[in-house]
Amino acid sequence: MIEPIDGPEPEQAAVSIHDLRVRFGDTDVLRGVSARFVRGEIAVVLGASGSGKTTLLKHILGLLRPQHGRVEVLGVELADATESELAAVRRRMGVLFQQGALLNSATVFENVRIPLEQHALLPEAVMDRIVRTKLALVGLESSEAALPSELSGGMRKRASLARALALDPDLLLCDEPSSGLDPVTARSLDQLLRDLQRRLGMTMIVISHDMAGMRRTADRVFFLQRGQIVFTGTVDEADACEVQEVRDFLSAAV
Amino acid sequence: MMRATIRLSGSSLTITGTVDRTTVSELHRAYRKLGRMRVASIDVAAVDRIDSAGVAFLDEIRSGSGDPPAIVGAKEAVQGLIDLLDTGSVPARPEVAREPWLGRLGGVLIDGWQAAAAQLRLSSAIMFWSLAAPLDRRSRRRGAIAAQCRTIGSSAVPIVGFLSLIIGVIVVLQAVLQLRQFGADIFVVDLLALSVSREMGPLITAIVVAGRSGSAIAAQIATMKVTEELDALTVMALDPVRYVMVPMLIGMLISIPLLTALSIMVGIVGGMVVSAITVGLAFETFIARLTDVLGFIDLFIGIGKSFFFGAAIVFTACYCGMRSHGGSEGVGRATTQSVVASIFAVIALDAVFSLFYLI
Repeated sequence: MIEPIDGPEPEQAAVSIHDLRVRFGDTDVLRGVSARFVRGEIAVVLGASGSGKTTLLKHILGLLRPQHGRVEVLGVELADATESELAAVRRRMGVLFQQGALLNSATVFENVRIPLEQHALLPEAVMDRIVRTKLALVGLESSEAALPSELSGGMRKRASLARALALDPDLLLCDEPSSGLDPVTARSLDQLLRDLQRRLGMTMIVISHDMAGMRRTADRVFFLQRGQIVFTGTVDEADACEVQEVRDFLSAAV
Repeated sequence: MMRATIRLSGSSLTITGTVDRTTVSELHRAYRKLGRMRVASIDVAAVDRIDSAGVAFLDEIRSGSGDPPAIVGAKEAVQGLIDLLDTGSVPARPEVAREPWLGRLGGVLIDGWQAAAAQLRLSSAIMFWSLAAPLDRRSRRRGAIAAQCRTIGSSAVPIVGFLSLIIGVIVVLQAVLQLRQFGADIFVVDLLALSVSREMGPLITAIVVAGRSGSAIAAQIATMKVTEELDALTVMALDPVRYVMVPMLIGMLISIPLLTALSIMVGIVGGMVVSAITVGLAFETFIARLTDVLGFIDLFIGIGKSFFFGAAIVFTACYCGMRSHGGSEGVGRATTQSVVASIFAVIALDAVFSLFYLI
């Protein structure tokens, strides 16, 4: 009798958001966002600067608590989750931050090892192996002794991805994964994300305004416009979409 | 019922169940208990779930034996993960050969020599362009020197004044306790005047300035270095030394003697008030004695020293700032280094000056 502890839960959505409204001072940042991010899919949230993408991401991460509406992540309602429930959800999430957000005082190797040391009881040798594997996956095996400040922007981002993957997350959130990368590196990163998602069965939510990357990776596209989701669908549906803002956005990238 | 098991039959190791980060620890212990043996193959047909920890564990077993055993019978999903996360091909951390001690010592000496040379080069450049400053007005921003005087000088007045007052009070209180035993109360004036004007005033001022302004200078230059502002100045054909650092040195050399003079004055006034209270020394008596004791030479020494302290602080701070690297972390490091090094420099310089008194 084997019961996988991290196995799929009854409902299909990894993240579901219902009528999320956020107001900072006089500005309505999110004006009633509802979305379901399906388990095992790569969802790309598109939107112009200032459309509320980052705010949405921060709500999914539980860095901001919803002022109005519901945010449910991996079966936990974040609005009234306790700190320990939140921590449990976070252990199952990996985040690829825009600037990498590596700890500057630790080497790349140590950065990837931190979540393992803190959240998994594993023999030292096994932990070292996991760290090396993850670094090899992102092509950084030769930089493990480097400090983050000695890396280029693209390498820092890949190191951050290795750290996000350290605990085999069920949900991977990526904030602008390809911004600041050259097209070749961006494509190989997208390829890697796609590959990992297929093999590990992760759910991925990618915040982006990179059209080429979206076409390479997305199973489903969410289009955020001035705090509202104006379009949801597959890439093909987006191409055929009649919503003016979506058309502008897609045609600007050609 | 165990969620995962490991057992040995012949030369085949059989693993079953869920091999993930919650069970690997247990499996690892069980595996170690089996003792040293030759494993020809690992049967994972009954493994339903595996994660990176599980794959790393399998690799750990395989690398333990000279001839890596084959993994057999893996389900499709399990095999896919094993292929993706195979660490067998990942090279172990390369051993860095340690240099022999003579080489390391030589390295330290060469680094030290180069740092000293770089420090001297930068300091002399700042010095040269500061001396040339009156002829070189166009290469800095208008009002830059005044702005430096404001941040280094005027805004430090309250803290320097307050600290000096306290120092004056302390010196008198300590001295009175001793001198009273000999009926030598009047000599409290000598002690206060000489110690405050020659040592306490310049030193306290320099330490406060090193902490306040030395750190600010280092942080500013380090930030400009990290954010490529210094490079931007250079490509605009503006010399960072002349544009950024010269105003700092000039501002410092204007401010620190004034602050030192203030410190000496306030220290003596504080002492005067306390000696009036403790031993009833009248202000007239105090001032008469003061003018006898305190010569021009004492003020000259005290205030003269402060020029050297100020220059040392600016040189150290500029050097630490210029040497910084590695983002915001580097800025913090440069600032700390600058404060430590410039306080050290001030005290060391003061010791050197004290030697001159012996002559």
